[in-house]
Amino acid sequence: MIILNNICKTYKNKYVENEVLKDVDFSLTEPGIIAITGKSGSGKTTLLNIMCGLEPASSGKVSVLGNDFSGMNSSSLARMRLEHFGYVFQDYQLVSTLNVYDNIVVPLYANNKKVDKKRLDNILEILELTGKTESFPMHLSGGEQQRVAIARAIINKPEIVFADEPTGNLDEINTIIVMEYLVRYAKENNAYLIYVTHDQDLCRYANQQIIIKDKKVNIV
Amino acid sequence: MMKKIYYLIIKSILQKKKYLYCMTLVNIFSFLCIMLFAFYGKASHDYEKSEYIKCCGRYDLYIVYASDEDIEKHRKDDICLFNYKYLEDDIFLIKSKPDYLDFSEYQLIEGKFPENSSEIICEPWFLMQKGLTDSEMIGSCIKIDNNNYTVSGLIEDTSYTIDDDPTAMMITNGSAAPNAFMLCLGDSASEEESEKLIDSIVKTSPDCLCKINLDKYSLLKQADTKAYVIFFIFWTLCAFVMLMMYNVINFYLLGCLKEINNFLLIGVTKKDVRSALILCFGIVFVFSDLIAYINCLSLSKLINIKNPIFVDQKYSGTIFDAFKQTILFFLIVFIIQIMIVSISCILFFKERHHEETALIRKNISPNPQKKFKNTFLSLGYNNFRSRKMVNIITIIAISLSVTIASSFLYFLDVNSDMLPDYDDVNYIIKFQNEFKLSDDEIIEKLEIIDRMENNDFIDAYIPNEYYTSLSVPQKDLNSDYIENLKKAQPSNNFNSNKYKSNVNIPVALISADVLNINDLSYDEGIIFVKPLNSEASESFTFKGQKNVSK
Repeated sequence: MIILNNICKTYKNKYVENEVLKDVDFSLTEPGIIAITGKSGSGKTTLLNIMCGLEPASSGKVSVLGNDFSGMNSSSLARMRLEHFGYVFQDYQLVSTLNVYDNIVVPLYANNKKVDKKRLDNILEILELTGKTESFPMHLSGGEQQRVAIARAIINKPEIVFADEPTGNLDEINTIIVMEYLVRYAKENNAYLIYVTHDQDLCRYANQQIIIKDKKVNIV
Repeated sequence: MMKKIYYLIIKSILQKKKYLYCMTLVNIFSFLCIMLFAFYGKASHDYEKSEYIKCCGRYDLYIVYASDEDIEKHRKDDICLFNYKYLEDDIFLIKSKPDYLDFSEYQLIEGKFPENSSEIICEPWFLMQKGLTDSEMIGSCIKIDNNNYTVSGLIEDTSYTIDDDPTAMMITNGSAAPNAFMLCLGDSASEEESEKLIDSIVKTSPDCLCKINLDKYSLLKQADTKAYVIFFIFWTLCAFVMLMMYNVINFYLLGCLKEINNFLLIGVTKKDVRSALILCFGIVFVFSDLIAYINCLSLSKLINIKNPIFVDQKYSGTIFDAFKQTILFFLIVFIIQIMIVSISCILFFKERHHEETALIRKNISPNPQKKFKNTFLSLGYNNFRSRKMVNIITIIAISLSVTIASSFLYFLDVNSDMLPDYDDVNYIIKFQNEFKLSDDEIIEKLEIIDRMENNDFIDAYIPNEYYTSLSVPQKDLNSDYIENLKKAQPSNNFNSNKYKSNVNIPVALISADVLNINDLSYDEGIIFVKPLNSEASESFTFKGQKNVSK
């Protein structure tokens, strides 16, 4: 269950205060596929980051899977992200000095788990990354890097997958591959898939849609 | 067990080749500088001291003829006997009452140490007096003090020669007991002076005056002062090296900021990342330190061949010996490095990481770098520039603190009464208690002196044979024999750790005949009042110029 109570987020510096979210209040009780949409700069990524604990809210309360973020320090939040969440970043955030295989197994190693080779091979096959495991990110295309990021996000069997514009840099074919795989994962594992997109076409995969407009959210 | 994630973090960090090479080279260079400076600083100090000692002799004290007035003056002052000072004109009164003779530098030349209470070791001279030939000595039976002994081994005196100072003369009036004195007389003592000295000891004993060899100590002090300068430069160098390491580590961390952030975003905790980084840098330091260390030792060896300043010094051994001798220093430097690594990583995550990450998020390069053709020049320049204030403040702070600390130490050195460097002293006066001969004993002694001056034969007073004790390592002795000794001599120094202690065992010795007082300066001999085992015994042993020269 994901509950957000009166969340506000304001970015401040010496000269300007920029309020991005105001009194955001909703809950997602059942696992499913949720799309966050809105115009550019509307605060989609900020909302996603707040939900997964990457950014703190300026005010309000966030509770995910029964854990209240306000009572957790950065170390506990990192632990939670590692154990329960998978995150697909817009710009992939792959470790450039590790090869594909190592990048994918980082969450497993960080959790001190063994690599399930069968499952890993299966993921690599579905995401068409077989044969690329020894390559370094700089030698991969944008689509391939995005698929590596997805593989890394789900290798740990997370209960919630957050994806920030997972297909933003992909062509149509890759978009379909990626989205279908993410949706399939969410359904098979009874997990949440929460993704940010500004492409209305991608909203068709979602059961629910969170629309951000004028700092407020509207769930459809 | 090491976490698996450490492996991945280390692997990713080590992939930053440019930073890795830069850090390794800086570390090798700085480690080499520190170690070489330490080696050569110490060696040159030792060398300088040994040269000074050669110039002014190994002896520590001058013996001065003591006038009655002087003696009386110092007797009134009740001067502490063991009181080394660097102050000029410091004169010490030596008072002595030997209870028995002790030849602590005897060596077993043949046979074995006693294994039971019926065995004894002897001087060959002692047995010759008994009419035994060389081949008959070991195994023969002798009677001493109404006890029968079997000779188990032969011992020879090695104590009175001062190898590298053939003109030096030593007069010993010693024992294993604390109330012993041993003096070295150096080059400057003429034959006449020596004679006077012996005369003075014999005539005026139990009191004589001696003063410290100021030339030697002032020169040694100069060497020490130079050592403090070396110490100061060494620590300043260390401070710069530490600063450089701190910067290089920081620069490396900034170079890996993106990778570090990616690990953190995935959910790896800061603690894990920090530990892995410390481990990673630790590994780099271990390898680069070892390379530097081996190079340093090889370099020492090479320089030693060309310019043998290490001859007879501690670093003149094989590389393996040098390893053994310097490994502790290596470990200390390594521990300091690991501390710097840990502090750098902790401070990085506490202070710098947020700032740099925030700048990246705002698309501002946190560290706009100036590029030179030479990669390392770029790294060095940008490193200094990116942390200019920190660099300058740290340099000033460390230099100031080192200067203050060194000045303080130097001040302490100048203003305190320091003990001489015992490494250079062969013989040390050992006194624990001030004591004097009793009036009866003085009268008894004066009688002997009278007889000597009247050319009476001292033989009349000297039994040719006696036995005393010899200090022997406990481990060299048979355990049954030690048990017997324990019963016979409860006060003997028995220790539960047989490898650490010596015990005094009886030995049979002989005194040389001294016919004339004037011969004292040429021969060696022992003058004493009564057989050694009697309570009121008093004796003097000496080795004259002639014998040492041989």
